Amino acid sequence: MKSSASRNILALSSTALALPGIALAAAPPTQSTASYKLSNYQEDDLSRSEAPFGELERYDIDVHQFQLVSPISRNMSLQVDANYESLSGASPWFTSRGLDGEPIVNLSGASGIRDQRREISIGSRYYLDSGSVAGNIGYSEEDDYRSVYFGINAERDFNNELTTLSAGFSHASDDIFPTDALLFNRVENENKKSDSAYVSLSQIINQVSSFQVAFSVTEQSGFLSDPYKLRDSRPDEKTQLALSTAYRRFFVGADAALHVNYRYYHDDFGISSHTGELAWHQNIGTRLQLVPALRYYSQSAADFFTNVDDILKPLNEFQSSDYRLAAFGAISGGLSLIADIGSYRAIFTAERYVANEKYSAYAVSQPSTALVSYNRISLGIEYSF
Amino acid sequence: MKFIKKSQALALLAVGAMSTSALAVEEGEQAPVFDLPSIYADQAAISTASLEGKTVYVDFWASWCAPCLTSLPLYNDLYHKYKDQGLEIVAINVDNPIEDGLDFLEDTPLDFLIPADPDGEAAELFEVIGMPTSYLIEPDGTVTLVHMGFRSGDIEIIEEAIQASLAAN
Amino acid sequence: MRALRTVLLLALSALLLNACMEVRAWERGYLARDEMAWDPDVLESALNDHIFFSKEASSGGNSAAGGGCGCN
Repeated sequence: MKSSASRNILALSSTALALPGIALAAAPPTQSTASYKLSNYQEDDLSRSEAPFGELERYDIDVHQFQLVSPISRNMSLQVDANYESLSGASPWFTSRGLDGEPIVNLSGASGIRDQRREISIGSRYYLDSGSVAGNIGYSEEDDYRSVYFGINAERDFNNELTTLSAGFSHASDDIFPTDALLFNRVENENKKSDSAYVSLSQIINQVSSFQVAFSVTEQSGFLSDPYKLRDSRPDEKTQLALSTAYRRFFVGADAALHVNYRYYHDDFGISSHTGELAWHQNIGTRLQLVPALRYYSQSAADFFTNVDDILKPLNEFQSSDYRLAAFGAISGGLSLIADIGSYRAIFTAERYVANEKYSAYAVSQPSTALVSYNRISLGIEYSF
Repeated sequence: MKFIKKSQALALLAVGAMSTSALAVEEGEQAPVFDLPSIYADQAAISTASLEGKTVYVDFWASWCAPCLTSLPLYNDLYHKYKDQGLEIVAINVDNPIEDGLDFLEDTPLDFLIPADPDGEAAELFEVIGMPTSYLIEPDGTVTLVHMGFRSGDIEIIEEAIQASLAAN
Repeated sequence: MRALRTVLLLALSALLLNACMEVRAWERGYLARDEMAWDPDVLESALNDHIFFSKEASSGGNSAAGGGCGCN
């Protein structure tokens, strides 16, 4: 769309804690923006050949997201986020061999799970002449999980704001206290800590394009296994590295912008991954926008992944049949429709995601039978005042 | 195979890395001379010659610049308050195409002079390095205030400078 | 051989930096458009990050991670 600024002086730059808009000097937003997004996420049922016994239905999740961003004083902005999720369904409990010798999966419980998650975070950004600094803290809780986190970041403009350097650090401390711990011989109360740092460089290339590259390192320590799986034993330390790049290009004739993102990831569980995203933001007049998007993802398996649980293996040897540690590829396609109406913006999105070992760019020695596919729809509203 | 000497490569790197930013026209300097068409097809051209003898507040703005749009209605109020004392406000629009600027003005009418500078000729003369940038110019052509950006509280600073300039002349 | 690699890398950096044009302040209209932002819909990216964090193994990216969850 034409910059929404021209219609109703809507805030131009992205919100306080995300990197600010490309073209203008670091400055607080000129208006406040309140946003709400409602999403429904629904996983495909397993097939009887994948799960001959018990539950077939997987997760069905409703997500509510709220955000408020406001300038406060000449040099500062405030951001408040609140999320509420309610989840029902079942997830993989253990894997075994079916009657034909092929791996099969068993979902948890006959009545499935019902859980809720609530999250709140607050942050602030302080703007200087050629940059800004920001901090945020947050808290998330579920019936069996609690997380406290904080982060700080700073950025600096160079070359008349053509170049921006940004760096940040965050820390999270999570406590897990599984439900029915004693009944199912699960751990009762464990902790996991996570420290993450990143550095990022953005560069304007010419009047219609820009490029960004970022590098991040994360260290996790503590209880990293999944307590709800019958047999899941992972190392108590994990180092993760990620390199990501982004390119934005505006096509004046087409009145549309192309987004290209690529990310490479590697950790010391043995998992590497590639993520590629493509989106085309097509303006239709001055108040409508259509955005088709495509994503390709592929990861390799963790060193200790097995698609059939080996309950005879000693507990101090690492193993997990969690499908999220398997080698697989995933393709997703989505479409968004965005409409500007006065001081409001409405965003409708639909997305389909399919994971399959056949899409993998990495060698698959043990395909997982529990790979997930899902549909997601979202409706979002933004109001500027 | 051609080898680039290490020293030459470093020199290339240094030249590439140096920004070509000149400083904006500074306070105390003479304001550049300009002659621009009005953004409105049916209005006369605006030139420094036609503004002689007045205190002029020149502001560079665009429809895609949010702080610019916040400032313009506030400048309109200032214009009404001080035009009888000899203040002229010249809000140079740098939108390209100029239709983007005209679209904004349809919703938010402004009463001061609005030249169109889609090729950035005047912006280049004034060495604008950030949007918005404004200049307060005395009747004798001296620049007494250069203001970059527009944040809350700035309108008071600008009004004070305008009052001081009008009182002194 | 190492010296040649260093020199070529410096030359390449110099070329890349020179390839980036000086875009003047008044020429940034297209770059300022909402659809040219790194992240036009912050809630959408947060939602996707959250979903991919629970369904895939490679979490995190270029910005500091938010709250964890017991997502299984």
